[in-house]
Amino acid sequence: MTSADRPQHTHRSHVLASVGLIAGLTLVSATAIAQRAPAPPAVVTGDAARRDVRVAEDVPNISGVWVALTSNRSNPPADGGSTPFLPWAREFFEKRAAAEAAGKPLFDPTANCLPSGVPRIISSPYPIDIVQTPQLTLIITETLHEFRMIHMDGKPKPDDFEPSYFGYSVGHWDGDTLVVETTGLNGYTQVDEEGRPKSSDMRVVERYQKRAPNILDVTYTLYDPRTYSRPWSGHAQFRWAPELRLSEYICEENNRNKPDATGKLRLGVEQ
Amino acid sequence: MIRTISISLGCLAVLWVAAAAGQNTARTTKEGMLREKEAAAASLAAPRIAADKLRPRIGGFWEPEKSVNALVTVDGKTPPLTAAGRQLQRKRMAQIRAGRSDDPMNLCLPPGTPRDMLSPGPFMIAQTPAKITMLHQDRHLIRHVYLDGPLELLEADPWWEGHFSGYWDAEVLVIESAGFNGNQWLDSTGLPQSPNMKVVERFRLVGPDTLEDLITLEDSEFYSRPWTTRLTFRRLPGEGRHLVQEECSEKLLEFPLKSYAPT
Repeated sequence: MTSADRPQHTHRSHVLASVGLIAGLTLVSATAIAQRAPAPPAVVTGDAARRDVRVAEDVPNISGVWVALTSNRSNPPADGGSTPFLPWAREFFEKRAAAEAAGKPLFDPTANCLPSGVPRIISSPYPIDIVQTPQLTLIITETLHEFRMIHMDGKPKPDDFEPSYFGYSVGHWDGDTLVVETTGLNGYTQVDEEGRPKSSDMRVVERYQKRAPNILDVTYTLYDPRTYSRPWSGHAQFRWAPELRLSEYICEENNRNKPDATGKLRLGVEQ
Repeated sequence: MIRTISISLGCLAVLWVAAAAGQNTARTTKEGMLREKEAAAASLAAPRIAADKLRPRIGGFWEPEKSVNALVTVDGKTPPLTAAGRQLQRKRMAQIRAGRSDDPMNLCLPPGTPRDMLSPGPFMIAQTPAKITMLHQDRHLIRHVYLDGPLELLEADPWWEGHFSGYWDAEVLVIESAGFNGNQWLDSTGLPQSPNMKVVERFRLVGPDTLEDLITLEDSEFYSRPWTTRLTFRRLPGEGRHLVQEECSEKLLEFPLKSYAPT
């Protein structure tokens, strides 16, 4: 599904660029409310008021819907250097490239409706919705309707945490930058669609910072000594889009094969 | 009434801020315009944040008080199916008994609304002044409910989950849904839902740690009159819990997933 054929939402309206217009509309809606009390206050969808959140006053507000300005199937180091593969990782990467060139791509969890995990989800092309509560920062992705919970309570990952696609994320604010450290990742997913691998030892450190009121920069650094000879970094950027809502995203509708008698999909791909 | 007055005062404050901004700021740069927009948004948000502080706290983590397979009306009766509705449900039940159920959830398709509220396991409600977000551990079902007031569905693509809008009616969070694709089952007995169904959910705290969802379903194709069912949830302690998404699609794979890195 491309962004062009993604369902457009009914209640979308344009962001009001002019402060005067916003104030004027507010007055109109306030009058409407007064006339039909106790009906709830109506808000123009896409209204800038959408971004208000219930967080401490001194915490930067990154809530709301953001559209990806960057998305890549190939995410080599952002500094332009070569990917510091260890031998097994290079072999894995080259084997996938060869299989794809031969028209027989290997198994990819995300092509089978499974999460792309961290960090691959960061370079997804579809919008994200960030919700901030005092205890948690939620990053919700339209892609595969997934959510990441970033714990802001300062507590470390529980000892009995089972590795998962999104792992366990702990966040804190370093000035105006949200720093997120993720561990507890499973080793089922890759760094990118092209096939840079990762191990379950990977630690990902993301830094979210507003470059401008409507631009969110994300830089992330991957620490995985089982897979790469040195840490390396990637970058993504998002634009604030309060006029958008996340669309429904039903990957399973695109399953080409129905499950057989055993209830399994026969994919016809090698893992 | 008090809320109406406070909202009106808040709006006056916005006007004052807007007027002051217009006089003092030379909007010569894109950056300056964006800062103004941000300031206006913050001013607009203030009265909503104030109003939100007075609302019941339904934010946090919840789980079903009991598992529900078959929805019944609030007085414990079978839902008032029309002949067409009864026929469709019987067909689905016969298929289940024959071991070839067409339940969309077996293919990891979404349960839709309100069946998502029957999903087992914990879920989180993120309560913010302009939006309620519900996140379920099971199948990572997510609902984004903007508090825009009653649902006005003009033209919408039919969705599995339908389209939502919400508002607070005093102590009750009301979520209205419509615009379904009609493929969902309402429960695991195959109660049907047509594309014309309208769902109104009324969430309220019936105890400090008990949340009630009174769900009224209106669908003249399959039900002879609107009917209401009731679900209850218990609060889980702690507001910083962790939900690990459960992946339905793993069950459909013909091989177990493996880690690639050598150990």
